[in-house]
Amino acid sequence: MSSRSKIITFQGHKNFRNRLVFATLSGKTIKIEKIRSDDLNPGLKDYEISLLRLIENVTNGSVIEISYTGTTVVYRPGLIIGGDFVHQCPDGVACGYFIEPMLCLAPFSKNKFSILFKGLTASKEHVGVDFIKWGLLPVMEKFGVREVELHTLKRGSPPLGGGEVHLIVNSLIPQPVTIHVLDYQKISAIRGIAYCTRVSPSVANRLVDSARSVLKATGCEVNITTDVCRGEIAGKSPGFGLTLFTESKKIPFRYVVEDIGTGGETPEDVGERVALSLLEQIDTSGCLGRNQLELAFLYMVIGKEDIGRLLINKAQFDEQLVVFLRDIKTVFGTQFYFKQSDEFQNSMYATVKGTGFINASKKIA
Amino acid sequence: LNSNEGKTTWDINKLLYMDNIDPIDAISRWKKEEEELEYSSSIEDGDADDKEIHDTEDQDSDEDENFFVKKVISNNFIQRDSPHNGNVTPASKLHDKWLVNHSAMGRLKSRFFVSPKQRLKE
Repeated sequence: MSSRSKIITFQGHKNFRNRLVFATLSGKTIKIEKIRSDDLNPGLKDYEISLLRLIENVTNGSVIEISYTGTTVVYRPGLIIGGDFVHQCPDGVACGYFIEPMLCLAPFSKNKFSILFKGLTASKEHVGVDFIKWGLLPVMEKFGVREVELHTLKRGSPPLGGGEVHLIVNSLIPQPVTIHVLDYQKISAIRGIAYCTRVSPSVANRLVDSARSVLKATGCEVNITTDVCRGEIAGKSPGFGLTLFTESKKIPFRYVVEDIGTGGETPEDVGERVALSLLEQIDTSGCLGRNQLELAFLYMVIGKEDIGRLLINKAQFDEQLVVFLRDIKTVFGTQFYFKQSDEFQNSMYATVKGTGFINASKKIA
Repeated sequence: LNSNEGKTTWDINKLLYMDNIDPIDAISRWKKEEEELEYSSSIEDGDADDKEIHDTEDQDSDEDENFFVKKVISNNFIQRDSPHNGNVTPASKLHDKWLVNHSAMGRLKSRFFVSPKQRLKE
């Protein structure tokens, strides 16, 4: 078989990050064409090129070819080697955009990951550092990736940023464990973090009060801490935001929502909106929130050759998830099976057999 | 596709992986049959509002108002494009659901939250 026939071809810019991650984990060469080919500014955006550079840094032997117009990329993945880096995120894109793919790659690396990300720590479009810390790291823990730390050294609000986040992944595992989560979690407490940078410290308290007034109706313990950043650790721009998450005793997963304030919005608006969004997410989620589902699905796919099962909600199906599942099938050759739950209304069991992925740098006894 | 008692129903497991069907179309086809889902009904409401706007345009209605409604709908679509934007539902809708209509909150409390009595026992 010629090497050309092994290239997997995708079209369009959607699911760009996941496609690069799938290719790196599977070791398959991919070609992404027609990237914004009909756009007024065709081709890759600066943050996508920045991500390609980051992936090139954490791997050894990767080859990335970008066409003259930037509308076609060929990516031949190398081995994940990790290491110690500093990554400057481009303007307008939060660190979360770059940290998420690293969470998928880092546990299967040869060396430990220690990356210092500089830029925005929260934005409207991408996940913030608090979401990753309280939402994604517990998911990794459930899959056997335990020693992951995310330290927020400086907070950076849009538009100028100036934040610093240190990602450390010490847990290097051969493959993720298989999970079976077939029940909803009972929520014992709601916790959160309200932060503000370069604005009056009372803003954080106003966020807490408005969120508390909404969540009072749940009758649940609500504990929101404040993080008032001053001086150098406050970044370059004024801003504020709130992250809320649930705690449960039996299942280590959390429902997490976050939002930041934009021009003209009061802290009360943001606090109320985030609290209401948390209630909505609890109502329309399975055992995990929608934003955590893709990481869990990927770990299930690359797990050992056993059946993993996860309870999801029908409302969590959206076009992005369909593209994600189709891409998994294209690259890994496996597909999820969704079965209606007899026990819970509007719920389905997502079932998949792991592909038996093995970290190339680890031996399995 | 499953043919059951003369009625054709979509199997999500096949529909998801049919490359010749657009992802948005695949979801909408499946969700149309899942009538109990609020999400599909909200999309249909949005479409209905849009159609009403087009109908009233011929009758010399206020064009500025139409422009405003259209703009909101298109913005919602753009926001839904990113799965990470978890706060896409307008706060006013959520406000009505959770703070005005108490049945939703009651259902949520009984299903998900540990009551104070249970907490004491634990």
